[in-house]
Amino acid sequence: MSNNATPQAWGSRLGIILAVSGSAVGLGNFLRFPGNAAENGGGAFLIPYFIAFLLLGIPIGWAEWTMGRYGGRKGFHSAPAIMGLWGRGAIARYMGSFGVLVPLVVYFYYVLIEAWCLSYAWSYVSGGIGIVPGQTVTEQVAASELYFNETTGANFDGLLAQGGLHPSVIFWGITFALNIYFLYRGLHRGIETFCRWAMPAMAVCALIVLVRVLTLGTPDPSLPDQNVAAGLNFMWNPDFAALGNFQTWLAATGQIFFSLSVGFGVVINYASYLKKNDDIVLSSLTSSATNEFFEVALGGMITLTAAVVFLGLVATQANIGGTFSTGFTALPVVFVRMPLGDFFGAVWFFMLFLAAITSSLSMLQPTKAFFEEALGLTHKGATVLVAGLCIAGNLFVLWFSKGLVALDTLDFWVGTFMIFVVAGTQIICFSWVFGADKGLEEANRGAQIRIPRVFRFIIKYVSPVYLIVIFLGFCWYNLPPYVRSVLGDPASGTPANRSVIYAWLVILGSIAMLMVVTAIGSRRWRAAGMDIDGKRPPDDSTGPIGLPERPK
Amino acid sequence: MTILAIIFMSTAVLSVIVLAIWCYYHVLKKPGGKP
Repeated sequence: MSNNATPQAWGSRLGIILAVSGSAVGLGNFLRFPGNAAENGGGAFLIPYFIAFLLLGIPIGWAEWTMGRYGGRKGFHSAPAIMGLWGRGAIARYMGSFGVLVPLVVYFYYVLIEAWCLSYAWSYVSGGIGIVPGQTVTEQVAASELYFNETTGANFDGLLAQGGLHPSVIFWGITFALNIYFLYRGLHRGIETFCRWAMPAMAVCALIVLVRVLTLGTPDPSLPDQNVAAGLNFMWNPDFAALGNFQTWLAATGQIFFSLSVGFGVVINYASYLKKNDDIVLSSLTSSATNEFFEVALGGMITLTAAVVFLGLVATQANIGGTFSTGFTALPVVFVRMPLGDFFGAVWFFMLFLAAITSSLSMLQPTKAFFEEALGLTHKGATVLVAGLCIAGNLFVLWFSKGLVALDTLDFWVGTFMIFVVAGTQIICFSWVFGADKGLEEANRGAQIRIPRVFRFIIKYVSPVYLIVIFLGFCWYNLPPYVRSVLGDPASGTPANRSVIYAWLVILGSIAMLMVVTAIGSRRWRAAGMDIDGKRPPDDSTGPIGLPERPK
Repeated sequence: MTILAIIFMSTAVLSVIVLAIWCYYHVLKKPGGKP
């Protein structure tokens, strides 16, 4: 229910598949996955990884696509309204507002990381990032860290005020303007058109770097151990003992979960623009397969192989602790040691920029759709409101940049913790409130391939239990330090971190705002006679435009 | 590079490539997506 003169719609089936794939493929595919695998059993990591893909990633993906398309048939495009239908009431509707919170608040910091990628790519095009080629690995890593800290303002708060207009602010401005431009152009002419171009371009860039890495051989004959085979071995050699460690299963499931963007609130919105008989089963599987291709076949082959070849095993192990240290500290050192390193550095970071922008675009659309249908805003009005909120959020993260604490706080509580909550709510609404049988029947409507019957059991019992166990394990291992950073630690006399407190105010403020908008929306929808509690079957005469009819 | 590393790498990489090719083949075969 919006005041749009021209309702939003996808232009083609391939378009929505690439848009969902673009949302899922991000920095984690190239930077987080290889580090995670190498630290948790190497090749053996792929066993729990693919189990989680089968039992959690694919079923929840199907559930999200189904919920979205069903919501669209009732005229809704936002997570709160759609989850209210599936959860049959106000509780699910208000829980659904977290499905808008996640993409909105993640955007507050994600677009800055995207801007760093563009900044790095530009630096490589214009002569490198200042690492001296002849130095030792340790000195080069230190220089790389220095550059990273200067780019991100990690040394102290107040990045905006550093020496006039800081270059990172300029790159943020460019990146943000691009995001808003494509959002304003709409689903088909903006997001879909961009993803149809960016996804193949990203694959080409990755393949260029992959071919270069796999043909490196042994670049320094005096260091025969640093070769491509040793790099691949480091990434893929299985350590079966790791399978007995719960942390390995936690890491593998977390990787699948966050990589596929399930519970992110994006797919439910994207799928709501489909028609009732548009296929979703194969489309969902294809999007997941695209993500896995980028993650396993490209991310798993490039990053650590290159690092071992140029840095050696010890230095690689020391620098794969996280996405940022792998991507922005270790890899620049690799590029400075690689022939034509500036060229490959530019290609690599431009590819990461494309991976990031296809994801960030998908974070804006759910919020815009929510404002349109809950507040009755026009496409233009909702775009302006989303842009204003995001500028405020981006400036907050830009200013409180010391140690990237504010960014990390938002990422942990909203970009990680809250995703579990949204995905859990979705799977329970799908399987238990709406009913797994009815849900799967809805999913199979118009499907090009049918969901195998075994998934009825998986989606009803296995996925929710698996998700709860992993969520509890995640909380057990990760919550204590984050709770201490909010409350302070009297035992060690550590006070609460100021940036953490402010980040929490941002989160709470965003939650309050979205709850209020949900309440306003509920009143409007009810006044308009819409079935907000999912008590009636869909009236498809008022459904969305959806995909063009297939030629008979 | 150990034999096990080669087996795990090639199995994982080929699996995702085959899955992606199979999916896109069927998607492009029936762009409308209806049975």
